[in-house]
Amino acid sequence: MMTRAQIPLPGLNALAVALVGSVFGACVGLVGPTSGAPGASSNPGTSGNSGASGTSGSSGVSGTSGASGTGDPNVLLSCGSVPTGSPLAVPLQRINDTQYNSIITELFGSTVAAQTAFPAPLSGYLYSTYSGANPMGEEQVQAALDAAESVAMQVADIVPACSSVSAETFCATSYLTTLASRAFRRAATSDEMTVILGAYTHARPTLPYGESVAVGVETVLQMPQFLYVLEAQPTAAGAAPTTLTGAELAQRMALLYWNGLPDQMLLDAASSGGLADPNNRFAQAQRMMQDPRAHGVFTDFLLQWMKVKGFHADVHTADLQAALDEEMQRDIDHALAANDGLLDLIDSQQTFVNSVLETFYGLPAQSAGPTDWRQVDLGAQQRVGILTHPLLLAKFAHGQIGSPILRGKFIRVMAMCDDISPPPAGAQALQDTLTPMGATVREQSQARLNSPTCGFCHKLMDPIGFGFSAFDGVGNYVPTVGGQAVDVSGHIESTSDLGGDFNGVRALGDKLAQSPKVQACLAAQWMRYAFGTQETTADQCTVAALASRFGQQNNSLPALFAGLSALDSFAQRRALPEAP
Amino acid sequence: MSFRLTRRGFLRGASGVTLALPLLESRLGRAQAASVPTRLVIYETGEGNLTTRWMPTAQAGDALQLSEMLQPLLNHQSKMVVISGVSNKVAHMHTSNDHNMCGHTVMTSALIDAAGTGVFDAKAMVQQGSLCLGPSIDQYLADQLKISLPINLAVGSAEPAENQMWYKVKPAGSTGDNPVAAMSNDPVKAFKTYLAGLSATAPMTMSTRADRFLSQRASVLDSVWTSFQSLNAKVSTADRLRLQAHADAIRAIEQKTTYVAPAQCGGVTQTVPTNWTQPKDPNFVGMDVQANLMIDVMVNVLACGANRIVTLQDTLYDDVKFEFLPVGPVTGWHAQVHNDPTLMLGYASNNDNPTLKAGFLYYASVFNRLLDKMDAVVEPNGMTLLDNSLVLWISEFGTGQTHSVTNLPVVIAGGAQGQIKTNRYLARPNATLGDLYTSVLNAFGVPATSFGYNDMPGFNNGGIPGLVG
Repeated sequence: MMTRAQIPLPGLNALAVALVGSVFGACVGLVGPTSGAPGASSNPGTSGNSGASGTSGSSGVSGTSGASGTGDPNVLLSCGSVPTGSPLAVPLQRINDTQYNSIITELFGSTVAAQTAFPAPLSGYLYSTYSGANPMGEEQVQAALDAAESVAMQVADIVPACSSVSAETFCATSYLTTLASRAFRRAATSDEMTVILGAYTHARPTLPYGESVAVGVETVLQMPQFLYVLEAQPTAAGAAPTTLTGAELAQRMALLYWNGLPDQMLLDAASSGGLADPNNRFAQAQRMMQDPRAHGVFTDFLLQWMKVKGFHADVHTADLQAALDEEMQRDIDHALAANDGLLDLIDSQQTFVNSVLETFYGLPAQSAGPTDWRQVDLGAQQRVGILTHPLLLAKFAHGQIGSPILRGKFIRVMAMCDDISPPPAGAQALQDTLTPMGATVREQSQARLNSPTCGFCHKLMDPIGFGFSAFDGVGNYVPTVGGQAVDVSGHIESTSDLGGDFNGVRALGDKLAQSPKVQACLAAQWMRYAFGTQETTADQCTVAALASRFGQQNNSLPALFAGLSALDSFAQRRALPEAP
Repeated sequence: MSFRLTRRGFLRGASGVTLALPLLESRLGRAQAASVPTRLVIYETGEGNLTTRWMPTAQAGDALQLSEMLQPLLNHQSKMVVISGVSNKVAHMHTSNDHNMCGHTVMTSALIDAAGTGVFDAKAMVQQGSLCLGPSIDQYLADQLKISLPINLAVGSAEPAENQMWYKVKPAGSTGDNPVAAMSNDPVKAFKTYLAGLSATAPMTMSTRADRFLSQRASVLDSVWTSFQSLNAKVSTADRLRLQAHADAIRAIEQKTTYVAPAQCGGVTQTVPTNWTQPKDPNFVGMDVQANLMIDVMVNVLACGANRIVTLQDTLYDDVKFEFLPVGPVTGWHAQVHNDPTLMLGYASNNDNPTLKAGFLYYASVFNRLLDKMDAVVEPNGMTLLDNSLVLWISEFGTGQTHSVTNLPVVIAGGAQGQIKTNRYLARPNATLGDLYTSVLNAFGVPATSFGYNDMPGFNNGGIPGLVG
């Protein structure tokens, strides 16, 4: 089931618009379930509430706001006191550019450089890892061909010489079999070797030995067995789930935590059958997370979750941009190391500044320069974790002016995992008729909320965004205007624990950091990133299981990241639904 | 084989110190002049010529003074021999129209197997696709030199036609007749067939690694495509669709990968023509482009050592458009050659027809372009490709208007590594095609005394007097 909000298919957008107009409550829903089947919940944030004794901080407040029209069905799914989840349906994933580069280095050493193997993932998907964001059309195939050829031409120089011409076939077979088995993350089959050696044999009459072997390498690097994460799977919808082999588990973990190939310890655990044990997987994951490559994966996930991956604001100078990028990295690093990572990430008063940011934040100049960083406390109001990081404030803004819509939508979609349909056709034109020229941002929002057509969805966004009113589009904290305190009162329309009024981002951050709904949402987001797909109602208990582990570990981010591999669900696949 | 070097060639070969040598060394990395084989090139055009304007005026001591119709060749006069008086006597032993019997025999001087029985039948009508009972000179020479079959190229159609020289020859060591020689009128195909990937020295050191990998692309993509097949049964329907799209994209890219390796000779890289689309109409426009591309192929074939013998037949003789000439596009070229009264345009004789002059001068300019290109290739022996070749330009008729088989317009250039003394005009009123080709064989060291049909007196006189030696 695809989310209506993020998948950029025209037909689906049209469908979503139609739903807005025709189905009461269609604005919200984790993944937009339409079945309404009993027992199916669309909201993982509520899933731990029904007698979830094992979850920490679950203080179910479902239904407290009682607001009609939020569309939150709030149907609780019973996942048991210790949710275990269910087998996952993972669509075919292609390795990404980072993984391609890393694997090339692992296979051939640092002297062989890989060029960009794939064009940038398609935009419009929640995460770049989504299967649909990484198609293999002619453009991508051509890029992969060019990259493979480029690598192969370098490899031609490092292919070990063969002792004699008569031994060449043996030498080439030996080298390419070893290589293919590493590249494929499992032993290459004889059929696959026939294909690879066919390319070698074709080349050998006209190319030198080393280059001919490299032509075999070029073939390996373009084969689906290399480019895709292939796993045994039920081939028919409705078929019984399959259990992943040790090699498949090692492949999943290495690509997930390292963007690379399994190391010997992981391979040993795979071949001994140890990876079948969730506790062993968790231990392996914790070991793997000590590697800097894992750090890179989590940083990438969090930046994409915050929507600021590669984001550069026009309102920021290059110096400020560089400083903000590093501040963000330091914030992430701090959160990853913190005991309560979620709290640290979205609620901390602390951040890091250099000389550039001292000026930006209006702090006394103590830094020796752009490379001299120190941790500072910006105060409870100016700094609420990454919620008030200037990168996010500028991202969810229009130029100098912050956007309550975009800021509210970020909280609603990314932190609460509620779904917002795209605006109906003519929304902007309608907005223009609601308020006169020169109306303030708040007046415009109020007009939207009062309009039945607009308010239907905007009441889910704008009132949350109001809490950010003391921050402009650059990220400056502007608590008063003309001597008057800026109105920062906000409201979260929700039947969940988060529903209700709040005052300012500080209060919002405090709410979010304590919320099981946010906790479960972050678990769902990590799963989405990791498996490149949107969960379905069938995955609710898996999300709950991961959220449960997350909560039990005091919302520690490493516990969340490593916890995924410890789920029973991680080792199983269920059948994908039949293609439309 | 004894070498009679031209003065220029002699100086180069003997002293090893000329202005050209440093260039030679840098190109080929050789300090010492090497021997290269002599090449045979034949260019054949249709409809004879304007004989009175073509015929050189005899000068003292066989000195050559180029006639009006040979003026485009002025730059190469010192490397040319013009011969008049050569007759195709065998042609008129057949029952046929003149185009068939003259065109089929001009390179064979042999009887035509008009009946298709392998036995000469004077009453059988020669067909466009009829073959001769004896080999053409290019085939015969290749057989005598024990080298691979010659390369036959065409401007215009390459289908069996009146002006084409079809042959059978039994090469040394062969147990059966060769098939009819393939003739290519597609410069792209000719490049792919004869040149792609070739180089003058070791192929592996001349082309780049990028070229070599490029040459394997289609093969690699085909292998990759094959590797998708085993996955089909192992994935879900949704995944299968995704893989299918990927496999389809690979096929699409593979089909676009029509890589043709360049040919590299003497430091020059030649790539497959990209500006040529093979026409379907036999009387097409664009013969000038086709001829130029074919000449490029020919010269590179010779320079790269892909073959020692190449022929280029311009098979267009009927409705030739010459659309690229100021007089073009021409209407009724064939009829104008015949002085058709309806196309006389007021000229007393077709010798005065500016269209005919322009057309035949165009053929001379094509031949000149061939010589230019060949003379620009310096070979390891210090001489040019032209110096190392015997280049013959001939037509099936003498005077096109009358379909005469006397005074065929014969021009030889290159001198065959000094075997033929150049810058001469040889008026040889009793010479025959058999004599001409006997001399060609002699220039290549083949001790022939006759060529082609020789069962009656007068068809062979032991060669063109004074041409070789």
